[in-house]
Parts: sequence; structure tokens; C-alpha cells
Amino acid sequence: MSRLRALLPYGLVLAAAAVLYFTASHFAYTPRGDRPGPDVWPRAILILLAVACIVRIVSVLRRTSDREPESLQDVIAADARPADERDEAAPPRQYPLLLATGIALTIGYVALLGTLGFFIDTVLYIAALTRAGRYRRWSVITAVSFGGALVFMFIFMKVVYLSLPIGRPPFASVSLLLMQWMGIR
Amino acid sequence: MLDVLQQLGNGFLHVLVPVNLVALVVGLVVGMLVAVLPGLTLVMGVVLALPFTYGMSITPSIILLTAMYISGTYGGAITSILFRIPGEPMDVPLLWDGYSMARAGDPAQALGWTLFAALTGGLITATVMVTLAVPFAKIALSFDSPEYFSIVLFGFTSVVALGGGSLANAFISLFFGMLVSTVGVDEIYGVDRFTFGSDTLRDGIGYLPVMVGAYGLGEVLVRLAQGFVSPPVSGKGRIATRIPSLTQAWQLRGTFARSSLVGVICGIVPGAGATIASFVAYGVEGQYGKRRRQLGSGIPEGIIAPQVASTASVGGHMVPLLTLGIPGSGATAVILGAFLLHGVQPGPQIFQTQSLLVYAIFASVFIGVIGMGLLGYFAIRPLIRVLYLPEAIVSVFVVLFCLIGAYSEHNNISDLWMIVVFGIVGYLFERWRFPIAPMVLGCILGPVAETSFLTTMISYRNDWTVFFTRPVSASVMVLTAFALLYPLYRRYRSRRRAPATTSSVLP
Repeated sequence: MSRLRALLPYGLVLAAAAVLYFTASHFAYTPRGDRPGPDVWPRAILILLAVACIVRIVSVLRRTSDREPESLQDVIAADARPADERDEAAPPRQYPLLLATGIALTIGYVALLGTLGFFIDTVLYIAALTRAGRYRRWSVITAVSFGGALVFMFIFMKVVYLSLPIGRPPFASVSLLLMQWMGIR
Repeated sequence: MLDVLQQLGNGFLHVLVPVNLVALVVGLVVGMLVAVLPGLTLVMGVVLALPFTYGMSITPSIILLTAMYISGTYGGAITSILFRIPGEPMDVPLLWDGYSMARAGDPAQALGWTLFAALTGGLITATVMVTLAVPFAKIALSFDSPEYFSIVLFGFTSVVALGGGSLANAFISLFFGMLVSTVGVDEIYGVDRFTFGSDTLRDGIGYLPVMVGAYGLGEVLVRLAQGFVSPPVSGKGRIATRIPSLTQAWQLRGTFARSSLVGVICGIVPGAGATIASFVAYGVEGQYGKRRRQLGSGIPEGIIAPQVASTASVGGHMVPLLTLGIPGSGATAVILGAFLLHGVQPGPQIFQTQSLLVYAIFASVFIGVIGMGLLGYFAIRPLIRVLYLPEAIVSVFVVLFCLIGAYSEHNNISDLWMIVVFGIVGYLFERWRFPIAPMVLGCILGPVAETSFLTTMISYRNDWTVFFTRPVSASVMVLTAFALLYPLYRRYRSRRRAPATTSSVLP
């Protein structure tokens, strides 16, 4: 099962490489003499990508243990490290639900940026992601989210002259009010 | 030589212009803060600073990023020594002697040796950089497209071979980055490549969303998946730095010389960054140092070697970046990105077309190293206060910097989607042990490699043997083969050694 899981990324990349190779083989262009076409370079990369995946798949299948092969950096580090420091680190615990929440919140932030405008969207995002990151002091979360969004808005709109999204009505009125308050035109 | 010194003098005057000086100071402070915080890496810090350089002219932009790079090689040492928290992977060897010396009751001396080592390494690397860059550029001026292609290939190979993870994974990462760089309309034929009818993809995928997404958002997602668990900060004793006397330092001149050499060489070789330099220098000290048997027990040599080497690697990295346009590490890849964003292509011509800029960068390294020393000595206490910031809050602001940074390039929300996509790609790369640096380098240098390869094919009538018949190109190809085969040899040797060790402990 662990071997199958180890093979998954290489299988996916190999399949994607095959599909993209097929796509590259069908680029529509008019050849100019014996000049290499626009498909030559991507196809060469895709062949190399597929070869690297196959090499890795074969090495995973031939591996007798689940241990990953070492990189040169690992070998040097292991050689240099004092004996009592070796094999000390344990793999950190994983929280897939936190990760999924973080990704969902970030996607939501980008999706709602045009509608809610920078200020409201950023306040909500800072508060939600900080809370999702297991920080529990609501007073700090509230202060940081409002303060952070205001500081970002001031720096980027007033100092750097960046046109951040103001959102759609009725949310735009909040952005416009703050811009007026900060003297942003 | 006189001409170089005169131009360097002009460079110093240029750095002292207020806007450049402010950029230098800000770069030093931010670089040190980023290196002190365990959740942020040096490369991530440089990436996050990149969008702020859009509105600046090129000289302060590059000075800002270079200053961050320099001070970033020192900041993490403070937390390694005081709290056993390495701010960067390159600071791990400092745990063995630096933390041991601090635990033995002399943290001020441990910090003093680190600061002295960083200063020495920095000044040596700045001198080497100024000395080597012009001859390097003169040689590079005679290069044609086959030489450029072979050098880019060498850069790719050594980055892949010396980077983290397995060799095949590093190659997959590199090819993925190169493939990403082919998306969009082809420049020669005007043909859509991998656009799938999307207008966003027709514009191509810039290296900025790839870098910012994979390094910035990707790293935050990795830490979020681990529950934002930073090691607890302990030991709030009095924090001070005691600089060693010159007599004490002179007694350890061999360590300084060996580690500087290792640092500079590791810097010049693409791929062997500050982390490798730090570990190799510690290993060299363990083999050739006078007190090699006491290494790991808290002696100055164990602090000096990794710190000198990691700071000395900075100047080494800047030589191929400025003279050939080839970045040898993640941080120099971002600095190359800043050059390109401002419409300046580093290479041998830059010494003729932008000599003031180049010498201002050189001068900024000298001034930056001294500034780093002053900052490290006087601002150590406020610097380490950032360690008490909750990781969740720091990470949210990192993500916001990533997103606003990407948005500010074109004022376009579709760039934010690219950040999200490459953030997830960065997380998956970390999870599946694909190194990110080869992907970023592939994305930046992929178009250079494609152009030089196609130009060679057109100029030499599709004769690929030209890469092996021209002396410089052939020599670089041999180096490429060496860079590729050496790690395989090391791995083969370590595998042969492993069963022997196992059998020797068996009854």
C-alpha cells in the first residue's frame, strides 16, 4: 500500500506527460525550412520528464525498504553531524483538515476579492485563517485582522499607488468610505 | 585593476545616495528578521520583498534584495545559538558547537564568534567577487549560443544534482518548471502552446507566480498541515555579544581560510548554496582542523567554519549571476527575476552597459556586511522578540504579501489564481519530496535554454555535435557530466558502505 502511494505522483506526472506530448505533437504551424518547430523543445522536455518518472517508478518498485534514497546534501549533512545528533528527528504530525481549510479559505479569499473588496475580504480572511491556524485569542484576532487590513490598504493604496479591488455595491461603499478617510483618490 | 578600484569608488558613492542607503538598511533588517523567524526561509523572504521593488528603480531594488540575502545568512545563527532553533537549514551545524558553547555558560562569546565569522566571510567574499567578476565577464564575452546553452545546462544539472531530495525527483521538478515556461504563445512561430483556449494561459505563466506561490504560499500550507507547531522558545537570559580579540581570531586563521575557500567555491558552483557550504565547511573542519576531535563540544572552530562558509557563498553566487546571468541558488534566482522585471539582462555585457549598477551592487555588499555586523551587535535583543509572535498570525501575513505581491504586477486577479495553483503545487512538491528550487530555476532559465538551443540549431544547421567540438562548450559539457555523475558515485559509495557497517555490528 505504501509503495502504491509512493508511485502515485510519478504515475500522475507520467500520464500528464503523455497527454501533453500528444497535445504538443498537434501544434498547428507552418514549417520554415529545416528550422526546428515550436513543438521540438516541449516534446524534448516531456520525453525527459517521462524518462525521469519511469526511472523513479522502477527504483520504487525495486526498493527493498520504504526508506527514501539520500541526496548529496543529506549525505554531507550526515557525514558532518556529530554522532549523538544523528537520527534524532521524527516526522512531524500531519493535520489534513487544517490544510484543506487553509486551501479552501485562500480560494474563497481570491474568489470573493472582486465582490467584497480588499478591506472586507482581507479582514475576514485574516480572522478565519488565524483561527484555523489554532490561535484562540479572539481579541488579538479581531485587532490583527482589522489593523492588518487597514495597514495593508494604506501602504498599498496610499504609498505604493496600487489599485486594490474596492468590490461591488453595497460592499464598495465601505472601501470608498475608508479611502476617503485615508485621503486616497 | 586601477579602473576596477575607481569604478568601485563610484559604486560606494552611489550606494550612499539616500534612496539606496535606505534600501540597504531595510534589506539588512528585513533579511535578519526573516532569518530569525523559523517559519520563514531566506528565499521566501527575498521572494516576498520582490513585489515591493516594482515601483523602485533597479539599483535600490537589487541592493535591497542583496542586503536581505547577506544578512539572512547571519540572522538564523542567533536563534540557533541561543534557543536551539535554526532559522535556516544552513544554521543547523551551528547547533552542534554554538548551542553547546552557549549551554556551557558563554552565549556572548558564541554570538561574538558567529558575528566575527560572518563579518570575515562577508568581507572576503566581497573582495573575491570584485576580483573575479571582471575576468569572468571578459571570458564570457567570447561566448556564442552553444557555450550559453552548455552553461545553462551545467547550471541546471548541478542545481539538480546538489539539491535536496532524490536525483530523479529533482529532475522531474526541473522539467516541470521548464515545461511551465513553454506555456503561452511561441515567440518564433506565434503558435499557442498548452494554452487550451485560455486567454490567461496565452500570456504565459510568469516565474513570479511560480516563485511566490511555491515558496511563499506552499511553505505556509506545509506548516499549516503540521498545525503551525514552532519549537517553544526557552532560555530568556541576558543576551549580549562579546567580539573575540584579533589575537584569538589569528590563532584560528586556518579555519577562517579553509571555510572561506569552501564558501566561495560552493557559491560559484551553481546549486551548492549556503546550506551545502555550511555543512561542507563543518565537515572539512572535522577532517583537517587542529582540534577536530573536540568538534561538537562547543569550540569556536565549529562556529566559525559553517558561518564563514555560508556568508562567503553569497559573493560566489553573485559572480555567475552577474557575469553569465545564471543564478546558482533560490535567492539569486529571485534577484535575477528582479533584474529581468526591470528590463536588465545580467551577462557579460552588463559590465559595459550598466557598470555603475554592477559596482553599486559590489559596494553594497561591502557596506552591507559591515551594516549586518553593526545590526547583529546592537539590535540583537529587539530582533529576537519576533520569535514570540504567534506563527499563525505571521503566516497569514506571509500569504497576504504573496497575494498582493502577485496582484501588483498586472493588477489582475487571475494572477492570484496562479499563486493559489502554484501554492498547492509547492505543497505537493514538499509532501512528495520534490525540491522546489529546480522548478523555479527551470521556469526562469527554460526560455534562455530554449532560445540558445534553437539559435545553435539554426546557426549550425541542426548539428548537435557543435556542443562537443567547441572547446569552452565541450569543457562545460564535461563539467556537466561530472556534476551529474558525482552524486551517483557518492550514493553508490554510501550504499556500499552501509551494508558493511551493518554487517560489522552483527554478531
